[in-house]
Parts: sequence; structure tokens; C-alpha cells
Amino acid sequence: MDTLIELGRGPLFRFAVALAVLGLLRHAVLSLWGMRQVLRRAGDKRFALGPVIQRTLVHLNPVRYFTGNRGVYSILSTLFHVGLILVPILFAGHIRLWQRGLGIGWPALPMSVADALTILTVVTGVLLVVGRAWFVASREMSRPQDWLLPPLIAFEFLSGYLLAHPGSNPFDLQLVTLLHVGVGDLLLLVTPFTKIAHCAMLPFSQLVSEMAWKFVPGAGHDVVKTLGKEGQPI
Amino acid sequence: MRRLLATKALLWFIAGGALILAIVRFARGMGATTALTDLTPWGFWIGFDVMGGVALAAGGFVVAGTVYVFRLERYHAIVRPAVLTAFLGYLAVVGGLLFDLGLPWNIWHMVIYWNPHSPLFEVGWCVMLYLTVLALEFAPVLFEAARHPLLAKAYKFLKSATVPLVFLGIMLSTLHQSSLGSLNLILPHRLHPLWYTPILPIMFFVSAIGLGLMMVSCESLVSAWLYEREPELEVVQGLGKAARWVLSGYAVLRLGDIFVRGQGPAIFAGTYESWLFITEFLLSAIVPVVLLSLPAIRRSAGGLTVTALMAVTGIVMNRIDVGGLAQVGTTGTHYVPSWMEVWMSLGVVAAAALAYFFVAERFNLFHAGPVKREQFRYNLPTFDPGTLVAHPDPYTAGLGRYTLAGVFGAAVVLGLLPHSAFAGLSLKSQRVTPPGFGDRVLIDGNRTREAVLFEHKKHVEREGGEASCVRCHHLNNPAERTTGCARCHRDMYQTTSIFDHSLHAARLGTGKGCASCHVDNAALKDVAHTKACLDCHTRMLPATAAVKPRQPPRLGPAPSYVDALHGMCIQCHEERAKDPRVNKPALAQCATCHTGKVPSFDPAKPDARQTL
Repeated sequence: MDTLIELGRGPLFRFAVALAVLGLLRHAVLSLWGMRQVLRRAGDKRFALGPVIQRTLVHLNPVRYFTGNRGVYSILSTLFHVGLILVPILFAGHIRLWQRGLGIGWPALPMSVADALTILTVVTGVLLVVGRAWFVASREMSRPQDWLLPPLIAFEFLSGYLLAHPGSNPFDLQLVTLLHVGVGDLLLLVTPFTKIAHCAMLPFSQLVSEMAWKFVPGAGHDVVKTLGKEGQPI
Repeated sequence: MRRLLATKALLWFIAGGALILAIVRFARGMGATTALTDLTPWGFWIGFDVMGGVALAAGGFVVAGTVYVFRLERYHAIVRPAVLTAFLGYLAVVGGLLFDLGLPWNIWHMVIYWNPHSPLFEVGWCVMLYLTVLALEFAPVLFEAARHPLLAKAYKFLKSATVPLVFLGIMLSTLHQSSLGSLNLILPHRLHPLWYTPILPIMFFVSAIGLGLMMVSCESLVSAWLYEREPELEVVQGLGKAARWVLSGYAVLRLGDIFVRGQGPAIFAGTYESWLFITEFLLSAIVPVVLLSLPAIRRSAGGLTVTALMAVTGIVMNRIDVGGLAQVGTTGTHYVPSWMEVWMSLGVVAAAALAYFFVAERFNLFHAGPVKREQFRYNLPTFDPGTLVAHPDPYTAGLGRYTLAGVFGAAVVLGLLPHSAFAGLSLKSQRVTPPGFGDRVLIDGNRTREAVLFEHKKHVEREGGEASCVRCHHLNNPAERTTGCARCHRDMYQTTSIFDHSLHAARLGTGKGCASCHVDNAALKDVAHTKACLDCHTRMLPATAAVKPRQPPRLGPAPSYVDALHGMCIQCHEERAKDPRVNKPALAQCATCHTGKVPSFDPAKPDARQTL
């Protein structure tokens, strides 16, 4: 089991991190490149950057959704994301691993804050899945990854909490370590291929809407071809 | 076009990984990425990338010469692909060379600091000039559709200069294809006799022509298969016929040379080298010649492709053998290229192949014109429902798949990299212990499988006490633990001439004295037709001599001083060293022992000898 843990913390982890970082970078570069190409060929080349940045910042601010028709979901989602972003990066144990591997480090969260955020992420992750199952509209719109990712993330945080508090851990320490490392690697591996990619692509969302959907000559034909409705009335 | 899609994706995968390795190579050095050592400084990169790469690109001058010099117009259809392959091949050679140079930023030194005695100097200049010639030869393909008046003028000028450029290209290729063989002429004691020959430059040139013909055939057939177009079968059949004759000539030349040099038995010795030679020779010449002689094979695109691939593999293997594998036996090293070296080399090839596809899809490389990108099924807009990421441009849709393959390749390499690639090679701490068997230890200092008694304590005293340990026990070079004897006692390893011809000519009298040794005036004045030393110096080694040679004296180079010491002199020197008055380092000087006056040689008394 030690060999598997070392594999997960060594070569597999490097592979997963590289795939996640380079994969997200690839999405960003291709999107920007594609937008540039579309704008170059579009008849209407007008483009207002200011409003796009404004809309992006507004879109990134979750507070405005707290009082909307899905206020509870927005609050749960925001709390889930706070723990999800802060704990993996600022947990002292993780920073020690970076120091050991690459010799780089940064300030860590106090242990009590990290614990609180971890529990918050686990609880909100479970509640988000329950909410998705509860509401018909959400349930019908959900894809397999929408069901799988929150429980996996909640499990990753729960196993991390057990490793940080061995006294509270009723399971075999090696097994929990292996599962924590394995699921962590898996989440990194699927990052560029699932909706987790929005962690890097969110800033581009408004930009895509502004630029990428400008019609180009022959676009209608392409749409029909893409939809598989050639020769049919639209 | 699925086969093209799969091929390109694979090439992007390899190139992506190679890009990471290139960064590591330049950031952390060759020690962190290769298995090369001081004893094996040339490895897979030189053998495959440089020597193999140059030979693979020989098709450019062969086909251009066929069309523009011999006016065989029916081969015109493959001139452009052949010249492009050569151009990209040479670019790959230069790229590969940059990875293999210890100080790649000094590559320009060759231009300023001339060393006209070096074959490498000639190779460097020829490659540089020929790369320029190839760029000029191929430039009209890029300029012919250009609308800018300057490019149109450049197109006209370069088209009119095609024939002079082709002649220049043939001249430069002839020079450096053979000079790559000349490079290895300085390795008679290192390269196995099945490969080492004084006519190595001719071997390299002839085999390069054969390889060029086969490589162009290969490239034409494979590109036709990938782009699903009709292969130029008639043209390739013609190349196959020519290759059959060239490879036959190469086979006869190679075998003839081996038997004339008396090395024939080495082919069937059952050693590592003999099996290596047999495999290489079968692949590079015998099997392709037999296959190309069969009409059924010559008529089949598949048969021609397999034959061409076989010949290409065999001749590239020859370059790798000469560059390293055929030196393993004499150096006693066990060099196995690291996976990073192999991936890097494949990455260079992948990048060249991708550049070929890029040109093929945009310019008039083939007679039918550029392959239209719009006809590819994968050039549709994509919107990934999984990631909610839009790749809106139709042309980036194909690029999206390829970049994904590249990202995968880079991630795999990053996962596999050893720790040294991140942290660099670091010195491992070692416990310092005294020699295990007292002050005098038996060591194989030079890793030549010859052990000598080494006086450790005296070396410590002579070199300056304990502070001098690092002079021998250092880890500056990869895989090195201690300095070999030869690093300090360099003069002991220099081979010298045992026979001074000028001295003999002066003593015997120039002109009439020649016949004293060169008995047959009509015969060649070489070793084989000349009297042996012992014919005159009959008592050169009397039975009472203190020196006991391992072998009887012979003509040719004298053994190095260290061989002489270890082989015959060491007993006497040890006797002398017991005398406290003897200055021991001075024992390396002849006059320390040979104190008597050297008498003049008297032809009437050829066996007269001096005494100690």
C-alpha cells in the first residue's frame, strides 16, 4: 500500500497537476485564439471591452444572487466554493508537501479555520446534492458529472479531515491516506474535462458571449450541419 | 481522414512531451536528462538525430540531381516533397544538435573560429550552407501564391536560380555526407573493425544515396496513404530500381572491404558486434535488394513501403552503430540511452513531420495542389457540454484535439521525470573510509579491466594531504566516482612511434641505403614489403634482458608508456624503487635508468646494443 501511496503522491500527482494546469491553459488559449479568429472574419467587428469586464465582475460576485429566487442554493454554493478554493491551497499539511517536493511555500491558514472550512465544505457539498435531487427542474437538467463531483469533493475533504485528526479516525490510516491521495489525483485529472474547468474559464464566459457568437459567412450552414438537420426546414 | 487524425494526434503527443524535455535539458543540463558519460560522450542523439538525420535527408539532393542534372523529368512530381523532407530533416539535425552540445550557445563559434583540419568543421559549414541552399530551393513553393510584388520578384529570381542551387546542393551534400564518415576515422581503436575502415567516408556517401532513394519512396507512399490520394507508384518503382543497384553496390563494397582487411571471420564470431552487424547488414542491403528484385514487390505499394522502411531502418541503424553501439565493446561501457533521450529524438522527428503536414495542407507540395483543410470532418465548430467551454473557430476545432494530445504528452513526461530533473543532479554525501586493504590497493583506475597496485598513502602525501582528496574523489561528472589514472598521468598514455625512419635514412645513406630495408625495389615501400626490425637488430632482446615483453617486438606504434610499465617494466621499477636514493617520479624518464651513452648504430654490427 505504501508503494501505491507513493505513486499517488509522486508520478501520478505530477501527471495530474500537469494535466490540470496545462489542460486549463489549453482551454484559455484556444478560446482566445478562436475568438480572435471569429472576430477577424466577422462582418460586425465592433467590440466593447469595458462592458464585458464589468459584466464579468458582476457575474463573479455571488452576493447579488443571495436574495434571488434561488437564494439558499447560491449561499450554499458560495460557502462550498470558499472551502473548496482555500483549504487545498492554504492547508499547512499541503504546503509542507510543496516545500518537500519543490522547495516552495506560502503562509498557511490556522488549523482551526482550516478545520471549520473543511467541515463546511463537506456539509454544503452533501446539501447541494440533496438539493439537486429534491428539485425536479435541477434533477432533470443534471448530467452524471453533476451527481458525481460534489460527493467526490466532499469525500476528499472528509478523508483530509480524518488524516489531520488521526485520533478521530476510526479507519485504517494507510487506507484513508491512499483514498485521499487517489481521489485528489482523480479530481485533478478530470479538471479540464468536466465543469471544474470553470475555475479557469469563468473570466472568459462573458467574452465568449460577446465575441464568439458573431455570425460569419456560412455560419447558418455550419449550425445546420452541426445539428444534423441538413435539408430540413428550420 | 481518420488515419491522418490519429497520426497527427500521436505526433502532437510526442512533441508535447519533447517540449517539456527540451526545457528540462536546457534548464538542468545533459546529466539530468541523458545516460551519457565522459566515456560515452556521443550517444543516441548524435547517432540518430545527427548522423541518421543527415543521411535521411539525402533524398533532397538525389532527387533534385536526378531531375535537374540528369533531366529525368518523370521524377519531377516528387522533387518538392523530397526537397521539403530534406529541408525539414536538416532543420531537425540542427535542432537535435543543439540538445547534444554541452554549450549550445557557442554553436556560432564554428563560423568565426576556424579549424580547417577538423572534419567536424567541414560538416558544420556544409550543413549550414546546405540548409540555406535547401531553404532557397524550397522557397518558390511558399512564394508562388504570394501577391506581394517583392515576393513575386523573389519567386522569379529563385526559380531562375534553381539549377545552380541544385549543383551547389549536390556539391555540399557530397562533401558532408562523406565527412560524417571521416569524423570516425580518428577512432581506429574505439570503433569495431566490422565498421571501422579507411573508406568509411565512401561507405557513408554510397549508403546515403541508397537511403535517400528509399526515404523519398517511403515519404511519397506514406503521405499518399495518409492523405488518401493515389500514390506515385510508377515514380517510386523507378526509385526502387535505382535503389536496388545502389544498395547492391553498397553491399559489395562493404563486404569486399571487410574481407580485404581480413575481418571476414569477425562477421561469424557470434559476438554482440557480429550479430549487430548481421542484423544491420540484412536490413540495410541484403533483404531490400532481394525484395526489390522481385517484380511482385515492385508492383505493390505495400511491398515497396515495407522494403523502403526496412532499408531506412537498416541504414539509420548503421549510423547509430558507428556513432556508439559499435564502440561499446572496446570502451567496456554499458550505455543504454535514457528514455528521455529517445523521447526527445522522437519529438524532433514528430515536429518535422507536423511541419511537413502543415506545408502539405497549405501549399502546392503535390501535383494535385494543397490538401484542402475544409474537407476534413473534424473541422467543425465545437462546444463542449462537459466543460461548458466554447472553441468557436472551425479551424481551432482540429487544433483542439491536437493540443489535447500535446497536453497529454507533456503531462505524461512531467509525471515520469526523475527527481534530478526538478532538483538537478546533486552530490550525494559519502562516508570517507580508508582503503580497505591497507595502503596499497588493487585498482582498475581507468576502467580498462586491468588492475594495478596503487599506493594510496603516497598519493595523499604527494597531492597535499587530506585536503587533496577531492582531486581524485569527486563527483563532478555524471556517473563518475573517482578520477582515472589517465587524467593525471596523461603522458603515460600517449602512443609513440617505435621506428624513426628519418634517423635510419640518415644513418644508412639516403638513396642507396633504401635497399637495405626495402629489398624489392619494385615493390611498394610499405610495412608488408620491408625487412623486419629483428632481421637487423637480432639481439635487440637478449635472454638476459631485465625487461620481459609480453609480446615479441613488432613494427608499428609502440605501446603506451603505461602499457610498457604494467606489461614488462614494473618489476624492474619496483626493484629500483627500493633504493631510497632514487627519485621515484623520475623513474618515468628514460635517462634515469638508461645512464650509458647511446652508441651510434653501425650497419656492420646491427645487433650491437647498449647496456643499462
